[in-house]
Amino acid sequence: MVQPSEAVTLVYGIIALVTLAWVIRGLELPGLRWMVAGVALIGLAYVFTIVEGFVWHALFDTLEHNCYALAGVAFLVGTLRLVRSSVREERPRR
Amino acid sequence: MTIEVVAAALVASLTFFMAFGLSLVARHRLLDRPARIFLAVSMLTYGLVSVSNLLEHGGITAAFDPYEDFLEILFLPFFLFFVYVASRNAVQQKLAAEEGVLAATLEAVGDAVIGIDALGRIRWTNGATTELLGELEPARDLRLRDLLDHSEGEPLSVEEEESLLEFAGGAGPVRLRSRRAGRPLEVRIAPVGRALVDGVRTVVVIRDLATQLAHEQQMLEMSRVEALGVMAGGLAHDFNNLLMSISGNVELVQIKDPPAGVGRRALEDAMIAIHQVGELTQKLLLLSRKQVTQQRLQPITPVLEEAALLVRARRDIEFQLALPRDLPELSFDHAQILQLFNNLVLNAAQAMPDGGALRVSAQAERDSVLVTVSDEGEGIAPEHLSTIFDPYVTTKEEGTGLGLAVVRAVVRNHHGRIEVDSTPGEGTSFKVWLPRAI
Repeated sequence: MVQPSEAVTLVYGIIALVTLAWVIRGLELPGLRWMVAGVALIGLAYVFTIVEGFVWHALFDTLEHNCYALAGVAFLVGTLRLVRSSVREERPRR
Repeated sequence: MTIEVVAAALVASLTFFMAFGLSLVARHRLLDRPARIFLAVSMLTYGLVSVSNLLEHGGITAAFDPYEDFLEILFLPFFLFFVYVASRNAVQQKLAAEEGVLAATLEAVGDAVIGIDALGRIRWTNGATTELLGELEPARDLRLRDLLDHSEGEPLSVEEEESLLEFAGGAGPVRLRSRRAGRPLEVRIAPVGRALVDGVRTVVVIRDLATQLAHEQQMLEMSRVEALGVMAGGLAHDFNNLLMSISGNVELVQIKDPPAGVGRRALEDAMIAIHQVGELTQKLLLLSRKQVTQQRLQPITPVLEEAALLVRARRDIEFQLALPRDLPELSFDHAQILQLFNNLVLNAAQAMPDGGALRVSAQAERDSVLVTVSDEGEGIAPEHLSTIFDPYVTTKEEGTGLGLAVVRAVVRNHHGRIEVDSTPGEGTSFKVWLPRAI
């Protein structure tokens, strides 16, 4: 069964994603797309968390945790790009 | 418990914690400390959630499971704050860059730009304001009426100043005058929109019209001289044709039926006058550029030596001719170039009524030959230097004002360049560059 906290988290996540999409317009930050993809994957994981309460618990539980893992990878790539661009910016111009 | 879930939780834990570490060391221009902290904390929250999942699904403990929901809820606000702060930094940096461009532009423009607040007080000015209106007293709450007057010199009244600022932009440019320098000014006033930087409500742009008016006057003068030149050229051309007829007939009478006594002298005087008028028409034709140049490759030295003969009769002038033997040949019209140096040499001689040294020298340069004609005469007053090549401008009592104008016309016809350097009381030096190849 779906837990109330999970439903609230899902609604909250959707609102946050819409807000995020609005805030990042025009923002040029290296790796940001990867991070937004990570947030989307976390949102997808919320969905799987709810779905696993109704059908195919094992499958959706695995999918949920895979989404977390992929979100982690996306954030790692995003922050790596951010750090690499920082190194480029700090390098003196010739 | 499945191995896939444990593996996924392990990957999530590791990657989120690594992202947490990287967030702390990222040094991007848009990431100040708050942005980095928000990003790092958002990564930490999910790192902790992942560790809790790993412990739970790995069968170690489910003690942290009740706290996962709180952490998950915290993740998004932290991440949103990170994005918001980065966006704000981006906007601030863009604004700062635009402000820098605007400030540089304001300092670079030649017009005075003044910001005025809602009470009519001057809040800021650019650098050109000081040049145009003088040093402003920083301690005083200066207003426009402290700096500007009507074009006629009447001071601006309080009501007029208020009206000027109130109808900002609606009435178009206004002609006023600077109080200190009395310079004519064009004043444009524009209201600032909603944004009030330093309380500025109105921007006033003031342009100095003195230069513009002088330029317009100069242009008018030039077009007048140009029109005169065209007219004089046309007249000279027709006059020259008539003169040929008169000259021919006088010569015919002198040859076929020469009169005696008064008649003979009258005809001789007439021929002299005809020659003088002929020279004058040639000058006018040169000035109006209606005279065709007949250029051919030839040495310049004989021309300069011929010009020097003009002043041989003056015993009080020490003539110095410094012409190297290896001067290259130039392509020029012999008659025009002779006229050019005749004029310069005669001018130099006339500038030394009490005698002195007159020097004509030449030297080869990379693309041209430089001929210098210098004297030790009275020199030219600085205020006359800018107009000495203009036609009909002369300081001599009997001068036509065409000599140096012809010089310039000939130089132009030959695509050359002329410069004059003069010190009153010490002498004048004319430098003429004639190109090697045209």
